[in-house]
Amino acid sequence: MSEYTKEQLWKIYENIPKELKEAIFSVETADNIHSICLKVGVKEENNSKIAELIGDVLLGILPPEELQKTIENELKINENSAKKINQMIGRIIFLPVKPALDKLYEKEENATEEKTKKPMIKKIEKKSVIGDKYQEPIE
Amino acid sequence: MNSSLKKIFHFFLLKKRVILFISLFILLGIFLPGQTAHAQWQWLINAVTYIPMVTISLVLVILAGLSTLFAGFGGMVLNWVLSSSFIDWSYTKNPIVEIGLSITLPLVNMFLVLILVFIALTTILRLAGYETKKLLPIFILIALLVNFSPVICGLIVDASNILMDFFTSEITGGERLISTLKSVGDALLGVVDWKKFDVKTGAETVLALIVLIGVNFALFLILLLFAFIFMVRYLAIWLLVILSPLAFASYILPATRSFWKIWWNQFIQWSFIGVTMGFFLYLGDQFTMLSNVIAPASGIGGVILPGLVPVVFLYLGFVFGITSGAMGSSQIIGFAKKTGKKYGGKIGKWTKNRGAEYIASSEKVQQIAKKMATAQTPGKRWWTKAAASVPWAVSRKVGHTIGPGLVDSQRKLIEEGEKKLSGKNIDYQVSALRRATTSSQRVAALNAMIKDNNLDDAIDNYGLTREEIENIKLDAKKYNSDKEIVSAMPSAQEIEKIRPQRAGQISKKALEDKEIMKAIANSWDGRHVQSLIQTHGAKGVAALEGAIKNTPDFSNKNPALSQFIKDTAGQRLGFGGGKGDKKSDEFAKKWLKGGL
Repeated sequence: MSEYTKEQLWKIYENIPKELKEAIFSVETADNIHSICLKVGVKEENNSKIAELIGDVLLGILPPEELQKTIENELKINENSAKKINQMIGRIIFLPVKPALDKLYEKEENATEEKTKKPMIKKIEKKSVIGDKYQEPIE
Repeated sequence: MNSSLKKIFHFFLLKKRVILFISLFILLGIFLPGQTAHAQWQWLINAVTYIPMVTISLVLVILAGLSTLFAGFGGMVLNWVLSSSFIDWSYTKNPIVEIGLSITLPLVNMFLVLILVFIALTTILRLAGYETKKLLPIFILIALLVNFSPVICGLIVDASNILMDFFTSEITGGERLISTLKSVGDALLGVVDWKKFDVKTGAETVLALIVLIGVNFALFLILLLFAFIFMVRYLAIWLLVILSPLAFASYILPATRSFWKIWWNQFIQWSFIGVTMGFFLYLGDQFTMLSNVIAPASGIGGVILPGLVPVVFLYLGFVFGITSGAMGSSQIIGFAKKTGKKYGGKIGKWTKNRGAEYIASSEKVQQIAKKMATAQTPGKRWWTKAAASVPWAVSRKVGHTIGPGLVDSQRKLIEEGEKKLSGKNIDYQVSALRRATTSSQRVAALNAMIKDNNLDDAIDNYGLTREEIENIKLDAKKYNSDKEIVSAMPSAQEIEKIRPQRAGQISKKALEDKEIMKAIANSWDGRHVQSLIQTHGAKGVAALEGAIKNTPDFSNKNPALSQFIKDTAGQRLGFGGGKGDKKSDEFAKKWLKGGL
């Protein structure tokens, strides 16, 4: 997990969608985190850690698919428990804000994809021009 | 009277030859000498006309003396009427007025009870339309004023008397004029030199004496008329004062309001007729003085003119005074109406607003009104309840109108003002606050500012002080419209009263107050914090973090907020606890210094 200063995190916070901003500090999210931890049997001192990781996902600095693994590593719990927690978080906390989350991570994916996509297209174009033996040459 | 007139008529019929003969001599005396005067004829004419002319002149001189006496009498009567010795009874407090008022006042009080019952019944039976509702405040005002109607009349009469006295204290009741006329008579006698009799001079003297007698009698009549008007003024004002309670009460109902108008017109006319009459008497007196100065020094015309002109002027003044009394009063009424419409509307609105504000903000009045508005009809049996139902219904209605109703109307005014100002820019809102003339306008402007999150800007850039805000908050409290202001600029004691959805309205200034922040850390929960962060973001979190760190045993004092901080997903943005302590401390310090 990358280290961000508070100022940096607040700058990130300012740029995320409104629904996610509200979700981060909402009482409902806090209550849901508390009840998930209680149901799964997470020790109370670990509640804040789980809340922190959920916050990271909502801020867009931890992809949702990496949450389970991070919980497993950070809380040092087994895979099954981490999976259970992850599923509950996904269903209860992330599902209501799924469109905003998808949009947020899609942006990030697009940003990384664009870096790699451009040379590939050039290669394909080159290949198609040189390698297609059935294609008649253009004057 | 008729018989004496007949006798005079018969005398003229029978003695017409004698009269014709005398007239002929007079005319001959006037015209002939100037035209065809010859020395041989002149002595004859003089000789023939001497005896009749002297006889006529003597009779006329006696009559002139009598007429001067009459004129003097007229002047005396006027002086007496105008003097304080004529009557020392007050216009509004004398036995006659007291007897009259002892009849009209109880009658009016009965009338008021009937109107009250009428208003109550229409209210209970829900027949009350807008007009009937409007009657209640008029009714209350009139009910209060009706017993003071003689005092109000006294004020108006006194005002007119001050003006009138300004003129009448200067006049001599025709004394100056009478003395002038007397001197005219003396001058005429001086003109006639009976030893050196000349028919022309004799005829001129006779003519002048006739004019003098006419002028004297005319003056006598005019002075009596003036005296009569001033006398009748006393009686008219007494009568109008006696009727004043009825007139005031008749103003309540639209159907009877015409009686009030008639009474008011009459009262103003009779009060101010003294002023116009006094003015013309004064003017006549001054004219006498002036005509003595400007009149030709010699000749019969020069002798008659100083007396004749002021009398004519007085007569015209009297006629004009009578008509202008009515005209003037109607103009006063017209002017009052016009001015009343123009400025009365504004003043009325201002007074109404101020009055409503005063009543709505007076704790004592509100306590009484609240009791009245919520009072239960007393009585255990149905008939006692029925008997008490009308007065109690009226009491409840009055209590509601001046109590919760008035507070509610002020609150509505504030809400309307807020709506108008919401969404406007900060300049407009601050300008509205500074221009406000009523407390409700000020509250509306500040509320709009708070709702639009412009308060911090107004404090930082427009010099809005905390003291100003506190004063407006006090006003807003009276109308139960203080929630916005309390949320924005609370005291430490008010923090726990703030609802979660309003927590975001708290001003930056309030967040810098350590006592307030301490109270927040002790009493707010996650819902408040959620709202706070939505408005203030990092600054709000930093301020709260600082307050929590300075609150010993925080988790026990405010377990709800403590739990929220442990469970919130915004851990890394501020409530990180142990791990990020140093960083968050720095962050909080920066915030309090205004560096973020």
